[in-house]
Amino acid sequence: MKETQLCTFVVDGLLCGVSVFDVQEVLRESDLTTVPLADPAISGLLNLRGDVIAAVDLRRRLHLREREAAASVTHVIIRAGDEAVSLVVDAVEDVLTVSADSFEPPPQTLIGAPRAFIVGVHKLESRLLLVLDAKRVASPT
Amino acid sequence: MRVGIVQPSPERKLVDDASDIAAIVKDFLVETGEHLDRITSDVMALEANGSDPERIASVFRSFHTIKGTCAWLGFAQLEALAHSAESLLSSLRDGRVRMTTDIASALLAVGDAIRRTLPTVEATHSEGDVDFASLRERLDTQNPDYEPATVHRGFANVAEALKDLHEPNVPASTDRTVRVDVHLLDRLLNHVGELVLARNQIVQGLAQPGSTLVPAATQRLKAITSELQQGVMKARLQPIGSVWTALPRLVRETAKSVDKLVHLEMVGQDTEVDRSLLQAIKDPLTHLVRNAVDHGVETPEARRAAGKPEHGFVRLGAYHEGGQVVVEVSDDGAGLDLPRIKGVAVARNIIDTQAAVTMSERDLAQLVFRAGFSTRQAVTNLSGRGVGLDVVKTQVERIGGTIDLDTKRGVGMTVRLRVPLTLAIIQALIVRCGGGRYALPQVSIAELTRVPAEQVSKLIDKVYASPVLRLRGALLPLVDLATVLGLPPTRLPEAVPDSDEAVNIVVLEAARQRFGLIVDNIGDTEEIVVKPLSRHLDGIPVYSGVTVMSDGKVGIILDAQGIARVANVLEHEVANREGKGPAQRPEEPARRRYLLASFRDGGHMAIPLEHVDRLEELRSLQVERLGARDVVQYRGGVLPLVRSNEIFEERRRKPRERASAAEPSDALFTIVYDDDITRVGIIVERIMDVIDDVSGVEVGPAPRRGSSGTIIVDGRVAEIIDADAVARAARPSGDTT
Repeated sequence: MKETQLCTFVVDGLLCGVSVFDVQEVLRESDLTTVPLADPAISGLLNLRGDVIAAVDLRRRLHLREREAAASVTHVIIRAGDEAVSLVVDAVEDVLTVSADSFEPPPQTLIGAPRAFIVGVHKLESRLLLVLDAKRVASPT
Repeated sequence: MRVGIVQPSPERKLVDDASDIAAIVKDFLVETGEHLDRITSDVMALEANGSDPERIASVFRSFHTIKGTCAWLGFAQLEALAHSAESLLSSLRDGRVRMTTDIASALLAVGDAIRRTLPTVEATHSEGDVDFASLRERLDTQNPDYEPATVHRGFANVAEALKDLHEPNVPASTDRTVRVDVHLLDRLLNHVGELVLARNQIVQGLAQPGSTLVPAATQRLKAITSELQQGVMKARLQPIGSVWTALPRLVRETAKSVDKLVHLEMVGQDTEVDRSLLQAIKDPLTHLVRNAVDHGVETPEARRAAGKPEHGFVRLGAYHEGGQVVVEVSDDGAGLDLPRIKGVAVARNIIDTQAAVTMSERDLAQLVFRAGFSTRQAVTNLSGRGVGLDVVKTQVERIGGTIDLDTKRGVGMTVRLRVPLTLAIIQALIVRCGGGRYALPQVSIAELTRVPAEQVSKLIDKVYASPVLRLRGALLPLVDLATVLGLPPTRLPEAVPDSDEAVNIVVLEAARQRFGLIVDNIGDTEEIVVKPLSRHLDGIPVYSGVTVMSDGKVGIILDAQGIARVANVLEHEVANREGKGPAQRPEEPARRRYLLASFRDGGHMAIPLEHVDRLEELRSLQVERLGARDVVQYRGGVLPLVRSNEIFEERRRKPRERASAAEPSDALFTIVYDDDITRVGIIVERIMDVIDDVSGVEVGPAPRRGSSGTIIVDGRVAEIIDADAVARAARPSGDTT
């Protein structure tokens, strides 16, 4: 039975996860420089020890509700190719080990833009875990 | 340090891991690229001066190594091709064959063919579907060790050969590796060790309040940081010769295609330049060298007729000077035809006739960098010189460099590029706009200006929807940074007394365009480290990169050219807006500029700017009397002086006073007037401004003799001086009627 480890986090009440191998690190609140003219999903640029990386707001990327202005966020740093990108999430949860038999492909009824980012769903005991394609979410659309 | 060449060795062949193969192929690409560069330069040297055994051996070794590696990697076609080349070299070495142009061309063609295969090798780890049979035959027919076969001509046409040269056919992996001296690497490691030590001391010091460790360690940290910075910069330096390798070949092919004989001399290949710059200067240099061969050096017949050796010389030189790298491309050709350039420049309205007369030869030569000279028609008019030189200039200026040229008719010309040592660290001005901080590269900044609130209505105007600033009499298009960035537009402050509000304007120069950028706040100039833009921000033209500011936050670097493009500050656009619409009455002459000056009695006169040669402040002691006329000795001649009341009819009845006695002040403000017929000094009370009649200036009828009309500027009436009246007043006989 094949098991995978997912780094999980919450975005607008949804539990999402990406493969731990795609995650470089997790950062607390960080100073963001907003970028006029950029894609609305880009919430800004941040300085990660000298590398300037873009932060993608997952709520916007997944077409969820806007976050309240004062709400605190967490950066999940994804390595996508040569470039690191931050996924801005509401809060980080545990690293979960899930097995292939709890996995199901995304429901047929799930259509629209977010569909491309979602690999499938793990049926956990109490809730569902959306598996995201980290590299795709972190790449420019 | 040199990484060992990939050699066939049995124990490595057994390792058949995919990642291992990838690493080997990468080494192969880097090595082969270097061998090919060496082959090209050696073959060309051999072609020029016969059979240097060392060079033949060097080419032989290079082909041999390529052959060996290809055999080991299983690239059969490449191996066979390298083998043919190698055996031809072996015949050359043994003296059974003599070096000819055909052989040189064939060997160079082999190099090109191998190079073309490299991208395929990089992508697929195989040589792909290639067939070098005809190329091999071409080599083998030159080689007595082989049976003669059908004879192949060289390149079907040179253009094809040149196209190969220009295509970026070197695989990317060779661009991404740098060879670093081991000693330098060791030193860097030492510095990093020191850095760790300093950090430990600081951590320790912070744990013990009152410790002296922290200040000392901070001091050390400063020193280590700058050493480290220098070291890393040094590791990035590469000899400029590495982008020159294609040039001998380029000269050879270009010269052949235009039937010229050209020697290329290269000096200063070892001059080190940051690798970020190498790629940036490659294209401009290629362009300049090709220009020198194509348009600079004359045909052998013309050279003979001019008493020059048949072989032309193109010289490429590089050296460090004052923290910059200077690269020169010179030729001993015909030089620029300056009188013709002048003619074309006037005909194309690039300069006016007045400027054409007064312009120095040096300034005239620089005109070939102007945009108007790059059009097709200009190419034929100027025997092709100046083709795309404006593009070269733009490219050089984009990286913060300058370009100029010296030329002498019949002797040749030199184009000189000055570029900074690196693009990684630049000087930038920090500005604020809409709550954000942005860095503007110093190289694109012409000046900074601040318009206080109470002067906004006077100095900032609109030509239709486009805001313009009156800056020293000229109109400068204004661009609001906030608008460009899609933020709420900047509101110009109201004229409130004692308000310390102001409009901050950064005057930028980009692609020969000057425009003012309105920002909220102008900060300091900082040295910033340029970092690449995230992929998420690709395609936003106004950004060129990002940087980390001194407080650790990210700042965006603005691209002046991109802003100009987005804001449409293009030459023709501005011209169109100014030229159209009801502001320009049909009877009005074309847009003119005037120098505005005041009389002693408070009146104003306007002199067409094209007739103003210079402005001088004379001393009344200098004024001498010559007959009925006041004169001064001026630039080796005698300049008659007239006063405003001598020009305008009614005032001439007043008794004429000698300037020296009449002027209350010691200084005489003099406008040196020159309309090609009359040259005279006009003494005025005060020189006020240069005005442009597009900005709300109205032209009325002439009120009296002496003036050709009136204009209203800033609510004041000024009389336009009449050329005939000046001539009358300046007549040596003075008061005669």
